[in-house]
Amino acid sequence: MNDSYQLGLAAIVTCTVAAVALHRNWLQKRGDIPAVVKLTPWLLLLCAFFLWVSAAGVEFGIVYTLLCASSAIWLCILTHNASQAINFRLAKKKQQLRQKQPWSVAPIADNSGLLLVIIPVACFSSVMFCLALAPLIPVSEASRLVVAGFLFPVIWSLVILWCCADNKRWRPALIMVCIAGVAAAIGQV
Amino acid sequence: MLYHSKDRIKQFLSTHSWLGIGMGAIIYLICLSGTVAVFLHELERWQQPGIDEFEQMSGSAIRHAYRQFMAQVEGPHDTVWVILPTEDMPRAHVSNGETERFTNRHGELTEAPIEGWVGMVRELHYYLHLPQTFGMIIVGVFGVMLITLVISGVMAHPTIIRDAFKLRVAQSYRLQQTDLHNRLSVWGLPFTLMIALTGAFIGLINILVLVAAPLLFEGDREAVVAAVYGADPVMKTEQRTFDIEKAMVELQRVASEATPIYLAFHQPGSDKQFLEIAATLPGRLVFSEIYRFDSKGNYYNHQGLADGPIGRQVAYSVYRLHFGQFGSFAVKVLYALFGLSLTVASVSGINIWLAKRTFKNWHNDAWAGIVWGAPLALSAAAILGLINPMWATGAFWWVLGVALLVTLCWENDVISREALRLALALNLIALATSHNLIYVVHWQAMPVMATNLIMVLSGLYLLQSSCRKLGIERESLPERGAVLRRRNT
Repeated sequence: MNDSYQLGLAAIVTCTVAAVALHRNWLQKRGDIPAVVKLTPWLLLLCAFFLWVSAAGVEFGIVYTLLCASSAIWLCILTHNASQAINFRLAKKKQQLRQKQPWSVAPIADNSGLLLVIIPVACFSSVMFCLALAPLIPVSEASRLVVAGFLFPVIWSLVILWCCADNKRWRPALIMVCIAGVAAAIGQV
Repeated sequence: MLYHSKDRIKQFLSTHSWLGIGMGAIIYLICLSGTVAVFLHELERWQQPGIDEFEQMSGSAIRHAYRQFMAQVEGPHDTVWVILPTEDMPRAHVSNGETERFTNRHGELTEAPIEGWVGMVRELHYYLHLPQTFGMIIVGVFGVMLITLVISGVMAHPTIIRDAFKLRVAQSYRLQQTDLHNRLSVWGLPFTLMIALTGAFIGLINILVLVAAPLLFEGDREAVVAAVYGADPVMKTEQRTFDIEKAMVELQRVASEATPIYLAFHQPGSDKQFLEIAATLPGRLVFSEIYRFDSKGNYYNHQGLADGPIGRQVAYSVYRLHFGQFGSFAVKVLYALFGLSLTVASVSGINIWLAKRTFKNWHNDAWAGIVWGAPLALSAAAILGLINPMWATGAFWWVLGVALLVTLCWENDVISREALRLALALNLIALATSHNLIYVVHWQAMPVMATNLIMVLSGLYLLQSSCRKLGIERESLPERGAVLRRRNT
């Protein structure tokens, strides 16, 4: 077995121990758990990260730590509830009477209509915002466009969320128009 | 701070709900096809098992394959690719983007690759079977929607820490689905965000190029792509052939740790021809570094995908990160598990909404039809794809449509769900059996045996659990009875 495999194995074990420790702390549900005990699982996760980095490099190290920690925690949850999990498909359902409604599409159509407006408008203002922002980022041209490429879906999703969650629909609409206008003006300059 | 107002939490929850309800079905299809797509290489080997498999290809075999392809396939060829065998996909093929042929280890051209069912799954995940560029943008938009759902989900969950490990599976169905949805989503959050962000980047890069070109590059779209990934070199040569062996030796000299994955012969036969060798580097997430050589096999430069601007490195790492094509087979298994958890989370989200209501209507039936109709459609398309690869895409949508129609007409989501599960179970067993019968000579090949075994085991599990559930339903049948009673009165 070469070094990478040994380090990888050590990282998996450390991740699992960290997940178990995290789960045990959560199960205790007491406010008086010593700080050291609270911190231990996070320190173990940090150790696991460094072990993964040593085994596979920084890029893979980050990915492996995230995947491994999540899987270990799922495993903890599943094993803790194993006795219940056997009866998974027998959970009690409340009695729901079947309604012979006509095909009521009004609420769906209302929300879908709103989305059909929000998605393209939010897309336009976010792409304009990202491209206006791109030249201001102090990195090379290639990196700027890639940063803009990653910012674009994030900003787009935030704008959609804002438009959907804000009671005053005119507010996000007005600000989006302003952002697009300012961005276009910066682009012209 | 984050959860300071109850009204705000309600707003986020409501937004999360109706965004999820509106987008759930398509997100489910994308997640399900993405989970299957993790194993596309293995499934390609299962779909077409008779191809020569090997892990090394010599320079002379590459030259032979290239020359044969140039002689047998009519041009003009803008670029010809020779894709080399790897540990993950131990097959070699030659392509010019339109025509594609496998080669054996000696470089002799053999069969053409079949797109068939595997191509159908790939195109479902990439484009939702829409026209390519448009479809990719639409899938990218659903990536954005997934990010929105993740953010709104976190904002709408004030007890995220308190409930971090809570899983009440044997209590009420609604609690079970809520806990399942929350646990899978919360702990799968890093993976979901990574997949959604990389997917959105891949899908929406076309929009960015479209808008950035007139604003920043005087309308030149190629200049935008070149700014990110680097431009092609301009070379002048009188030689009309390529010295492949020398280029391979040069590659070893320039980058001894690099493992070549494909060769690209650009503008072959012209005075601008040049050769590119793409190679993976150990410990790096970038898809490859591309090394350029002139016709005589002399090293010219490399594209800087692994050591160029950081943005270029990130942009070229996105594909492997999204599809889990790195590391060992265990990484693929993990990706499939996380993909499946995302698929289950998208289903349980809608299940919560359905369980909260005091009544049932056609939404319940349609959802059962989509959730169990889609895997049934995938397996049915695979069976029909074995008979005729051209039928796979049509079969998928046709079976999904029929499943949806049947569940809507049946008006009993519980029974129709179990019936669809039963049909899926029988389909999986039939698929494995018919594949074994058709490719009886190759049944011992590892990907074939493993895939068929997994299908049979999944089929048997589904068969057992569906029969059990159907037995329980038949004993009680309260819902069906209520419907019949109401109809009679």
